[in-house]
Amino acid sequence: MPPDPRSFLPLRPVDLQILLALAEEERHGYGLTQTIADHTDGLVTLDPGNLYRVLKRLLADGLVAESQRRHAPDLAGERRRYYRLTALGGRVMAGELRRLEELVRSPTARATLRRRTT
Amino acid sequence: MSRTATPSERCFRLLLLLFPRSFRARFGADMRDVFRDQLCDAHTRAGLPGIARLWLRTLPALMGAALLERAVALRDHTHVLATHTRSDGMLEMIMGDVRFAGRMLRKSPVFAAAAVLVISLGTGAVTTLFSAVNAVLLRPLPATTHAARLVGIQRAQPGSEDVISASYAYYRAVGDRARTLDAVAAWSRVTLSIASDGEGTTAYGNIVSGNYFSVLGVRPVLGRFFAPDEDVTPLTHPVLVVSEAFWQSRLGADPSVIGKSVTVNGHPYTIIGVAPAEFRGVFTPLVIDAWVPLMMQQQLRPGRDLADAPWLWMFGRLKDRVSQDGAQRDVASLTAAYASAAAEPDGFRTLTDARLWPMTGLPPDARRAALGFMSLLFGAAVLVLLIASVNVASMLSARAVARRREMALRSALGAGRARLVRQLLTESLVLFLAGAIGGLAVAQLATRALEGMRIPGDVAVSLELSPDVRVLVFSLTISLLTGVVFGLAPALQAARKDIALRLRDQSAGAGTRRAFLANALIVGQLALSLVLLVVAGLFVRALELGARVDPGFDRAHVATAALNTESWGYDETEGRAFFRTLRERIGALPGVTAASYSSFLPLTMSSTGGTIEVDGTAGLPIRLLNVDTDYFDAVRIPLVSGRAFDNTDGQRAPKVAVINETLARRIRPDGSALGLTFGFAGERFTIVGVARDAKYAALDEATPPFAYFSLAQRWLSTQTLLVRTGGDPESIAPGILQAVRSIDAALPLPALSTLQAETSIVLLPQRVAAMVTGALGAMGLLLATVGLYGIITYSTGRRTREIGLRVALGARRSDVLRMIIREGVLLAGTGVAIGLLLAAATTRLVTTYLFGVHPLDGLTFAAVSALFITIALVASWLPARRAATADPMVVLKTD
Repeated sequence: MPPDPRSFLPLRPVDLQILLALAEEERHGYGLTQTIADHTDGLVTLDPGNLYRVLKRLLADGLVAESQRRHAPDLAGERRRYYRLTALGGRVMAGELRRLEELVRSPTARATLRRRTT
Repeated sequence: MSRTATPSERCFRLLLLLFPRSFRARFGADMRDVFRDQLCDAHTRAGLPGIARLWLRTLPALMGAALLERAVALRDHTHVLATHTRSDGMLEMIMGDVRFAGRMLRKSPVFAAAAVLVISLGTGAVTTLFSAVNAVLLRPLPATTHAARLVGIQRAQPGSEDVISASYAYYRAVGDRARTLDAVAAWSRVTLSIASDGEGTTAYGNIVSGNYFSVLGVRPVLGRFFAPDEDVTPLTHPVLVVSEAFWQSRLGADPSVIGKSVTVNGHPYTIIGVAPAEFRGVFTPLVIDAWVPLMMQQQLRPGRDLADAPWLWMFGRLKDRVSQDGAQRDVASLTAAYASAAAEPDGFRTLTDARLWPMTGLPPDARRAALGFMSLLFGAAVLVLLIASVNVASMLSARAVARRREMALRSALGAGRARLVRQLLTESLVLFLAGAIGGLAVAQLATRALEGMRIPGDVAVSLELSPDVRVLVFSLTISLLTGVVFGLAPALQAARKDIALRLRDQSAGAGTRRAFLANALIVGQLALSLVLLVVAGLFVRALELGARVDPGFDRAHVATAALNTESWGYDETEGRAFFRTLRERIGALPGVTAASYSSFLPLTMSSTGGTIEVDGTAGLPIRLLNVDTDYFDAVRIPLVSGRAFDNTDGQRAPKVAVINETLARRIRPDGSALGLTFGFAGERFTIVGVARDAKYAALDEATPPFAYFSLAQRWLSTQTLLVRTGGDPESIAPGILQAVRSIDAALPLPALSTLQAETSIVLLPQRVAAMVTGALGAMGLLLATVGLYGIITYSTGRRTREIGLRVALGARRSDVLRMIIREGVLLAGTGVAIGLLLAAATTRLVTTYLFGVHPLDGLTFAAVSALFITIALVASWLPARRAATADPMVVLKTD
């Protein structure tokens, strides 16, 4: 039986960023750091050490997997490892997003947001 | 994009070693890719500052990640789940501190950059020297297994330094009977000429027992190594193992090379294997191109034998749970038994003991010499690290003053003293660790430069000094240590409890205690750099003196080439004919004034000795050299009386010798040595000439009694050609090569050099030492000067008001100038005085390298002191002038 997606919640912010980036398309390590930096306006910049530490954990939990598809060699002529979101990863991501959405919908949060935007 | 790794990438690769091996294996390459792309990005976006920012961000994060990953690996490994949350909490807290420190440092980038640069230079110096020490003295033999259990074995005379190479018979006697050793192997050096597809080349070979590779535990990258049956019957298995470098450069990296036939010294051999690139033999600095089986000795080294001649190096592998001492006793008793039983020449009977030594890549005597020399240079590098650390400590302490308000505020908000100290200490640790990375980059560059240094000599030397894990650990440890030691005082000072009381006091906050500390730090830096520069100065003096020592012969205008007819498969008759013809053809070349041979070159640290018997008394020890006719013309050693060797002194003519003045005086103080005969090596020689004394092996030797013998009468297959020309010796090179080719087109071309270049090895230690200590001393002086300048600027800045007042009250500008300069010179003078005392106490350590320059050489001490005082004058004159020219009205108004 696959593990319950809810057992992974709440996700760490970095984990969610990675899952989101992979939900768009399969990416290699550098692509991930770039996408996450773009998504967060440069607030989250991952160094290689922490990037692969997190990836290792996500791989072990089965939320992401190495892509089986072979990508064309890039300009430098190397083949890089690409990562993709697993079905479980997708469900966990959706669960986390729903949790955040509920959080945002709570009365206090809405009041705060309203004050801030006006 | 260029595919060569940048220094940043190389540092990153080293840093990856911090991660657990499994993690590295899985993600290491990918992490490097990501970092390379980030580097590329940062560089296009912001150039070098971009790269610096990337490092500033990546370094703490990477080290944190490595730490956490190590913790995870440890937890997985030991299953200590109970401590998991606690240690995770600790780590998170430390990481929090590190992140905060990173933020604080990013806020003052100039300070951070300056501090990191200074520490990089300091740790860079130490790391470079440690890399060299590690590579030459500490590192176990690369590419071997059980390196710690390998021991070198030498037969020795009890209670003396005398050792002797092993004979084959001795090797078998010990190897077959030793109970404490798994196996014993033997080897020797051999010069080979290897021809593949018609193209010949000179190769440095090792001729080895069949178990050589298996005792060392090396595995081939291609093919196989020697099989047991290739080690039994002489001349039955002409096989060859080549080095990876040789395979790459000479055999086109052809994977189907196994089984290929090549010509070795004129005989057909089959290539059976390729040794791994990291494997560098037993003596790692010596280049090895190929290995051949000991059983082929008759063909490849006919001058030796598989019986009693001592010509082999031996090593063995200790059995499990056997100590080196245990094996030592075992081998010594076998040696004693062998010496009493074997039918050996008389001189060997007293060699009844054995020496065992751990194998780290150098013979024991070279290891001892290198250890002394390198500890000296390492000591110098430690001084530079000290100077750099002191320098950073004074920066930190100045910064502590600037942050008094911040500290007071945080303490008022409830941060305890311990918390503040921990935070400040973390900041200096982050600085020192970043400096360690910079230091590794410095070491990468510096070791590469050292590797590129050409070392003269008749054997090819190649050094591999690049930093490894051991160096990485050393560098990080030493920077953590210095970070704690030199960061603690400023941290304690900044977090002092009473600091809140002084919060309101803005201008005079730095009390006398602080001023004293700052001054002491500057004095310390000056003193230590003075020691370094005095030592450098002494080495320069020694070099100068060495260059002026008259060697007694003329080194200029002589081309040289080492030749080995044995390695071409020539027998003695063919060899003699070759040397004769070559000399005639070269002698006929235009511009050549003399051509000759000698068994080795003078003044290259080589020597051969023996004892002669005169007037019935035996045992007069002499040094000797075998030379051809015209030798004395080629090197321009004048004959005091008698004649030189000529063509009448042939193989069958009466044996003759030429001796030096010292030997002549020793045997006939009245000057009548000419015509005398003496016994040597079982024959009688007549003295036909007396040559003027010269230097023979080293510049600082006491002139030994010396005899020259005729190569025609004591023939050798290895001879060095000497060609004296009227002009540039290098211009004669094509003529020499042409002459060799004209005799036998299949011969590999010899490597040509000049007597000047080859004899430069006698000054190599001085040259290296002068270079290294000079560079280190200059670095130290620069740091100290900047520090001095800073402190004078700082103190004049604090005294602007006072100075303004003095000027307003009528003090002349020259008075102000003098007052401030006096302050600087007083500091420098104290530094110089302490430095001179320190130097006087330490320079004795280098006496052996000084060619008689006194370790307290007045000129050096005076010149260096004068340099320091001059620099101190300049460093304090600049801020003094600024203070003195300031308008007193402006100064008084603004403060």
